[in-house]
Amino acid sequence: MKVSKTKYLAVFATTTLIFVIGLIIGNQISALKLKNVDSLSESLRIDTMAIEIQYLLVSEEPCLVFNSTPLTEELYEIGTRLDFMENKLGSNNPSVLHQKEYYSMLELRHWLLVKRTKKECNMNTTHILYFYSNKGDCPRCEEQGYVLSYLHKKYPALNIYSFDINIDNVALNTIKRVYKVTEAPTLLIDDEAYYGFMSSRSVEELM
Amino acid sequence: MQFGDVLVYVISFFGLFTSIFFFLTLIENKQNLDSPKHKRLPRVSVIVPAYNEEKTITKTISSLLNLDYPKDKLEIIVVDDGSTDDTYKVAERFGEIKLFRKDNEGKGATLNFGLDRCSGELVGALDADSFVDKDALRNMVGFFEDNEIMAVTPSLKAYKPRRVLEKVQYIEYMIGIFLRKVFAFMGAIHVTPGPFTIYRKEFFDKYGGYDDANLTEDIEIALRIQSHRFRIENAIDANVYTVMPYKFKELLKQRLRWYLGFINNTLDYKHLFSSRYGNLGIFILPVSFVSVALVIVSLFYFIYQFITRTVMQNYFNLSSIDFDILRILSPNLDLFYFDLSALALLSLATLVVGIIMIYTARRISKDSSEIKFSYIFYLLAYWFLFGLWWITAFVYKILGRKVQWGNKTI
Repeated sequence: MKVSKTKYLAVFATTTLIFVIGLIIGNQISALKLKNVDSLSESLRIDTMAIEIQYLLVSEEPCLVFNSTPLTEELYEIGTRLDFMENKLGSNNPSVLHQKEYYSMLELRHWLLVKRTKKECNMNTTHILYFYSNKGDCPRCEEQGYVLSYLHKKYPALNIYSFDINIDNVALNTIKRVYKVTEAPTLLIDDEAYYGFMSSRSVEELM
Repeated sequence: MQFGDVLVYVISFFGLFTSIFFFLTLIENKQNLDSPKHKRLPRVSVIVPAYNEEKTITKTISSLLNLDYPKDKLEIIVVDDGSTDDTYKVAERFGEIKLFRKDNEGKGATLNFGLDRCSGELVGALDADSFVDKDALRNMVGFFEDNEIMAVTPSLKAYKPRRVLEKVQYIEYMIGIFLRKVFAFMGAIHVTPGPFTIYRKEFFDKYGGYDDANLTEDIEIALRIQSHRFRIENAIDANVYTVMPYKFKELLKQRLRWYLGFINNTLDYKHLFSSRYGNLGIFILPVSFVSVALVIVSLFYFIYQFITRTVMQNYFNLSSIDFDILRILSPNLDLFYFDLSALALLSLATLVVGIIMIYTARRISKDSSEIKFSYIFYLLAYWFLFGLWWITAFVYKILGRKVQWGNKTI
């Protein structure tokens, strides 16, 4: 039976075409999702600013207007989505890295606001800063993330902020220096640093 | 990019390439799908090798006697291969057949025993656990008008699939029907199924009978025909039904024999891996091995991931929250988290191609059995089973372990 080289080449070309179209569609969908995270971050930035301005406007009685829960939820949602995208696109994807850095800044800003309100309004809330690494040098980070998601579900009012320890940013570097954060996982629970993995029970005891 | 991603890309590309190639071949030849009409009806001998088949042999012989073929041109030879049950007694009730009894030697030797005693211009075998459709033989003999054709294969189907493993095999056989027709168009059939493949008797006279020391004499004979550059055809409208093993252990035993036989025979006929043997040498035989390799690698990867990621990680995660499972069980139905990545799309495309393949096979072989859940069972289990059977076969090969075939160890 004769072998048709043309047929093999034609099938190879068609397969490659379908394959490339598949890749393009898939990547387009990922790009759209990143845009969605982008617009969420943007609206959160505006909301945070609005609260800050509101805070300044009523500085005599800040405790009357501040309610952190809705924003914390939004912040948490963006974090979860970014995490999902990082898993899909890889931790070296430039768009993901950029979004993560921006998200970290939003988190810090929110954290500062919550800290200030807590102090001035004598609120009994706990906030946790969680430093993780996705570079393969933190075998227990996945577990720690799992514990924190669980705690978030159990205590919706608990403020959890997570930061990639590898992000090189002036503000984040300052926090890391002040609290001597050099390894992951590290948790800052109400401004006290705890190094290494912590189970849900150990965290709950400190709350 | 992780290893798993690369693996899915390679499998998808490979799957798409081969599927497109096969469909294109089918479309190119769609006017040749029907078997050619016969100008004359040659004399045909059918050998039924039987070893402890008292339960199914009546149906097998009856289906042969019911064949729409002139009685004076059909010779049925039943050879009892030293059964320890009542196979011989049951077969004796049929007056129109030639019945022989001999010491137990295995299937290959039994077939050769029949070959020595048959008078047909064409010869075939039918295992005593298989049955033929009335018009099967008539639809096959037309091919032999072409002198280059040495063998014609039928459409082999699963007989009344009821249990899960039978349903899985039903789909596997359907895909086999599709592939065998495509391979026939490409001149690349390399397995002539034991049940009811019809051969030109002169091939055995000239090149010897069945290799009775072979685990899979049907693969050996097909490769021998290819090796002598003769053609093997497929009559897709000649239906043959076979009883399938439905117990895991029995099925594993059967596959171990098939796959080990395939490895041994392709090693014996390795010279066929050459452009001199056309599509068979440069595409179909290499593709068989590449697909097996891909299934084995993906199975190992899956098991590794399943143990390290799913089982161990979940255990650690749950133990770190004191197994407070109920609180963690809240499904996330946000569309954002539906995985529509390139990988998922490509896997989906590969899956759809599988469905089209089964649909086409059912249509061209005029199959009307109920398949409601079969494809789901197939999707869930086949890849895993196929990988497992092949791994076992390779382990046997590497360790040089023997396989029990009938009451022989080969």
